[in-house]
Amino acid sequence: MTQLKQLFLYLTYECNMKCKHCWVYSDKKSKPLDSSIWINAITEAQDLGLELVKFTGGEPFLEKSLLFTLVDTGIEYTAETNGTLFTESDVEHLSQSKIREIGVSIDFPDPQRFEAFRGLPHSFEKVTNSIILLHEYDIPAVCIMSVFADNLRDIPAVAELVFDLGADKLKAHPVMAMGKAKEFVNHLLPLPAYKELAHTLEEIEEMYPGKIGTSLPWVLIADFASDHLDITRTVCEYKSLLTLLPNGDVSLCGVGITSPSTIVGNIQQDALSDIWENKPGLLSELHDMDPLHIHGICGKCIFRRYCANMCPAYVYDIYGTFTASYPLCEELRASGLFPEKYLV
Amino acid sequence: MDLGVMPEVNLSLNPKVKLIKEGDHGYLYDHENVCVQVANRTALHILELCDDEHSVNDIIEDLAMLFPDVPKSKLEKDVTHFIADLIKEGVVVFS
Repeated sequence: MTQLKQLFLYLTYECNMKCKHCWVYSDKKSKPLDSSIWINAITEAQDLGLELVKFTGGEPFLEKSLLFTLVDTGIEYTAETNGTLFTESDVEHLSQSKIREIGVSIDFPDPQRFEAFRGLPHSFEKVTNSIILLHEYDIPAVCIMSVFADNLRDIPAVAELVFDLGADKLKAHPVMAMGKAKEFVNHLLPLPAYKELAHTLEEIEEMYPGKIGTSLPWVLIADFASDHLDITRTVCEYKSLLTLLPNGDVSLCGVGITSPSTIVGNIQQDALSDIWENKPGLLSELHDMDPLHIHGICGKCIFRRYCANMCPAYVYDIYGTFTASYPLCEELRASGLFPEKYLV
Repeated sequence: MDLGVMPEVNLSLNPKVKLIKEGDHGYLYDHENVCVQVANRTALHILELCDDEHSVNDIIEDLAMLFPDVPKSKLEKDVTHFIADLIKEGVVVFS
């Protein structure tokens, strides 16, 4: 049986920020499930080989009590947060748990644009203080920069800022038009700008070696220095993860928020082990997917063993199938911007 | 593999691989195993010389001009080992 290595836990959809690019509908009210239900699911997952939990949302620290109850079970975990809701005692608490790293979102190097974009006054200072605190308590801080047309040229300044504050890594991910972010489509990176993004990453990787990550497909960063395969890349382990949504729904990934067909059960009624072993609905289709036999351009790319189609969830959201190509690569090819020499 | 007996035989890339040059490095794609290896500047240079027109000795001579400060005996040893590995992996074949 395949090992269930990771659980993504969406404790809530709600968020204290109003970020324009976020794919989650944060105005969706959700009453948190009792902690015993979450703990039971985690215990079941441990029997299936669980190695890591990721807390995300919504803003997981809005459910701080629940979060700390789960953290205190001794699980190894990461968390994604906007970084505005920490106190020093919270960080101290986290530092005594099995935290692997914490992702903090930061998209601009200055308070004016950051706060205008994120819709929360005085938040820049809170976020930067959080990064400092995490560093002081030896918790690896991974800053996540969502890249779009308005902040593409701010990447070096954001890198300088977060590494001065003590961050361990910076991941610069282009915003994808998924869920609520479809309303943000006019601000996404135009296709010709992806080359500039790749070159910017190459430049800052030289300044901060080993500290830069991105979700760009391999083919777009192939002209990096020859050790570019060492760059931190987000490779989805989609065959070994499940996602639990705030109402207990079990989904293949966070895509369950926007694509109800990817929901395969609910931990209030179903045993996680039954879901994992019996593979209802689309779970079987996802697990049977052969990453070397993707349709379209990804199936012809020399990097397909390493990318597959990058994000089956996103691909499913766009095309309604897991085996289609990564939409960005298809769009680049249609525009004549895909480096054809990497196709076989 | 001992290349000592075939230093004059020309080398070529196995048709099962594709070499893609990218600036000062390259990618070696293996069609059978669907995997990619990165070739650094020197490896790329050697692979480009595996063009059906150069032998092991030719490649050593070429690199000796490229790296005049490296003793010839070391170059011979390193290049021979590297090419032996390429042949063992099926990347390069004798013409």
